Amino acid sequence: MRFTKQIHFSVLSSTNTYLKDNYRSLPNYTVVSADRQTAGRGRFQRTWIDGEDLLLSILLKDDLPTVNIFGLSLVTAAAVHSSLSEIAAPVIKWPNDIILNNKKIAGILIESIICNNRPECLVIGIGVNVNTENYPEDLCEKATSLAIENGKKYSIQELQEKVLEEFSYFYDDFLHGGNLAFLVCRKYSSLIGKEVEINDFKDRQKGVVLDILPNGNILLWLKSGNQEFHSGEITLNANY
Amino acid sequence: MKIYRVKVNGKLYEVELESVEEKAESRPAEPQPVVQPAPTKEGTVVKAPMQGNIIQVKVATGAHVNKGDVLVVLEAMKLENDIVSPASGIVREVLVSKGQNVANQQPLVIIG
Repeated sequence: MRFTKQIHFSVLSSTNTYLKDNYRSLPNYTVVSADRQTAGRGRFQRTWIDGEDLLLSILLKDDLPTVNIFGLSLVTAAAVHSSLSEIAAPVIKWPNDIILNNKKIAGILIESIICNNRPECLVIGIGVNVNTENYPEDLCEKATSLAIENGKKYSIQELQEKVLEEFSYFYDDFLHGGNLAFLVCRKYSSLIGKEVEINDFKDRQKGVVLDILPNGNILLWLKSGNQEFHSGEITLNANY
Repeated sequence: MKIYRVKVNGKLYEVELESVEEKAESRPAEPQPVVQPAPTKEGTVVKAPMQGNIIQVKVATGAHVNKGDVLVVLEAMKLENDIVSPASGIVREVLVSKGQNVANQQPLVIIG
């Protein structure tokens, strides 16, 4: 059993922030979950809207070379996708959003603390929309939940156990140099073959996604030629 | 793990080395030696551990920082990385700004 220390809060500012603030005193593989987050975040400090959902973060203190931490995005996406695939048919939007029926059902935020070029810790944040039945007007076209899609509620605790089990499986494979997570992310990619707009913080340009690569990068066809991206914000039809 | 001192162009670095064979079965790639940034006359240069985009700058020139304080947040391939100070001191210079793309090992902040 990898996740021997699991802490649950009814209310917490952010499960990711809690682990980042306390990583020195907590053991490797500590899991923190919460019923509600008062300051839940997506990437770039975007607010995570939570209802009756799965909100958890995993602390990793393994001695991973910096060059390898990028693979954790694929590991986590594959784990969440596999956890949901028994009850839904989601796809993966490279590489940190899980999409169901063209709406976001789960998001991933991975953060690290790096000193002297080495990660002191990594925090894997996962949010899955489980039993939320209503979203604000500005989000209802972009977000969905298992309850909305399937018309029934699910045990958040059971889903958490499933996510941790799947994470452990893909993470072990990753640690041993395997590429199972990459294969899952490529097979279930929502982007391959789609026209996207990419914003690489300097400018925006349109292109077509050709492939997800084993190193976790995305290969795009652009007017200027095929180009591989390791970073940037992919937008698809301006929905997400 | 063994620690060696290496002098390069007159500057002294501490390098930690560990056997690749010992860890090969439990890691996806070979471990890289850790190079501690050596204090220089100009201060300790904190460099980008990877290529990416600066999404937050948390310190300003002249500010006092403690070891472990977050200097900048660097986003790379969907990961948000807090780059923390390896030492306590005064921020001599902030070399990057929010929204800036940086290369691997590009200097970010100088702590003196």
